[in-house]
Amino acid sequence: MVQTPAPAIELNNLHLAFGPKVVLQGASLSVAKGDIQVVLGGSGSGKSVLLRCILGLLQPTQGSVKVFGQTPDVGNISAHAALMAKCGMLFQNSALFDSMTIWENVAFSLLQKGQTTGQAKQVAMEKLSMVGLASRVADLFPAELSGGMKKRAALARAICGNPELILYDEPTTGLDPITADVINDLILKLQKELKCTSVVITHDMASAFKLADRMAFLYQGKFLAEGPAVEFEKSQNPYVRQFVEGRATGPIAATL
Amino acid sequence: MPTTTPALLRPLAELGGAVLWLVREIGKLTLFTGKLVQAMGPRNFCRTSLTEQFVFVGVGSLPLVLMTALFTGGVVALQSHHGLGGGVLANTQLGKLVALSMLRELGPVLAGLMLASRVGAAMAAELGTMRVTEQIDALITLATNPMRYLVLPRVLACLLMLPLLVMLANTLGIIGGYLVAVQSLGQDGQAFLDAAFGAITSEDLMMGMIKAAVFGFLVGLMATYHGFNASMGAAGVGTATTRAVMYSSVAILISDYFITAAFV
Ligand SMILES: Nc1ncnc2c1ncn2[C@@H]1O[C@H](COP(=O)(O)OP(=O)(O)O)[C@@H](O)[C@H]1O
Ligand SMILES: [Mg+2]
Repeated sequence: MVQTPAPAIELNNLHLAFGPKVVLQGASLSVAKGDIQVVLGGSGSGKSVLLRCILGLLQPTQGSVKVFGQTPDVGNISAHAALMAKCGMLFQNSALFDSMTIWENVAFSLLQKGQTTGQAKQVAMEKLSMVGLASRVADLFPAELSGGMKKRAALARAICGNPELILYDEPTTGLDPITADVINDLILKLQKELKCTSVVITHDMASAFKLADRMAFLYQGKFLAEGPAVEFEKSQNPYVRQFVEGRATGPIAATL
Repeated sequence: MPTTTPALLRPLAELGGAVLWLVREIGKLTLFTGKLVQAMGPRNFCRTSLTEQFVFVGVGSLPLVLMTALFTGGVVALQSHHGLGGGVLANTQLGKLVALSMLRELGPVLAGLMLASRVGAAMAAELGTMRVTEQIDALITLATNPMRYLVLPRVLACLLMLPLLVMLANTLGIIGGYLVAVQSLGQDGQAFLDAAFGAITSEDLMMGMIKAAVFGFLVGLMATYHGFNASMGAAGVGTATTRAVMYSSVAILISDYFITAAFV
């Protein structure tokens, strides 16, 4: 048997419900180190919930989550902080701290670790230029930025600690196609420079095929299909086909 | 099975539901406090946010609290003068009445309620907004414990600043009473002050300070707890803010009774 390296993320049979609303029911997925794993799924299918489980912000009622072999649990403060230091998360709505300037946002974890303002700001400026933001943006507040710039700033914050794992929650949603593609290029560039593992959640098919090493399709709380991106494109699974082609008719009922 | 409850038993069921809700809420508050204590530890406090909160809670509340105290002291003097019959008795007792009502009761309670409406509302809205815009989750993913970074400085600021505010409020209350006694009731100022300061015992001071610290803690706790657990968008932030002010006000008045009862 060939020894395969331990996966970065291992989700095993996750179940999660909010009261009567069942969101996850038996989701299992393994993400290999160094891969870009794209997770597809309709709105409200539980993609963000899945990410929150990976980060330990939500605990599944059943099943196990392993990130770098560790079970994330916010209750265990120091162990969780150590795990989070290896992870970067880009939130769907950026979630920048609106009481701080952009560079303070980016350098937040460094300042918390006790780095001097000078050092921290220098690193923040590097990260900002890495995501293509001009240095004059550094002293602005999040409210003064456009959606695309906020995404970049949030991305700079997520990569500030040189994470081994980056999670992207719908990085291109709500952006114009050109800005969206710039973000895609950025994700690929970061992947190369940081040599990290990425999980990208999206329902933007162009973005998905551009980024993915592997794809997984989340439907009704489970992964209906999972595999390398090239196979996914040719998949004969009627659910996957309908989603990939973006048709209203098919086995997936468009419920609002 | 709420639909099958007989009509006669319905009030009972509602009462039971309310009791259960209260017990659950107290349980959650206790857990929250436990996490807060856990966050204290020996590790470095976030000094900048602590200073920021001290200034916001302490200095920022001065005008409101002091105005309230000044006028309350005046009203107490005016009311008591009539209550005491306006004669010699009023002249010798007015200062004492104003001082003791301020120190033991009105100073801490009114300052606490003012803190709840100004600081409690602001903190609940701020943390609530951070919750619904995922800024609190972002803090966690940046390896920062939000209890230590957000909640602890706020609760500490309320806990430590309210006693200081109350001391100043008491002084202003006595000044308010003095001004009314001398200016509009034509009393002897020295007699008023002698009566006021002669009556104050260390027990009065202690009771006032214990109340202030407890009320401050309650305001900070209710504000951060409800803000921290806000849900569902802008409406959730509104609800959290309302609850923070409402429950901290009620908690102040209820705990006021028990602290007073413990002293008399
Ligand atoms: N905190 C919560 N409380 C109740 N329901 C929630 C909560 N978070 C998510 N949900 C529900 O779970 C489902 C999946 O949500 P989410 O993961 O955000 O979807 P998406 O795939 O669009 O990211 C939705 O129906 C949502 O209403
Ligand atoms: Mg989502």
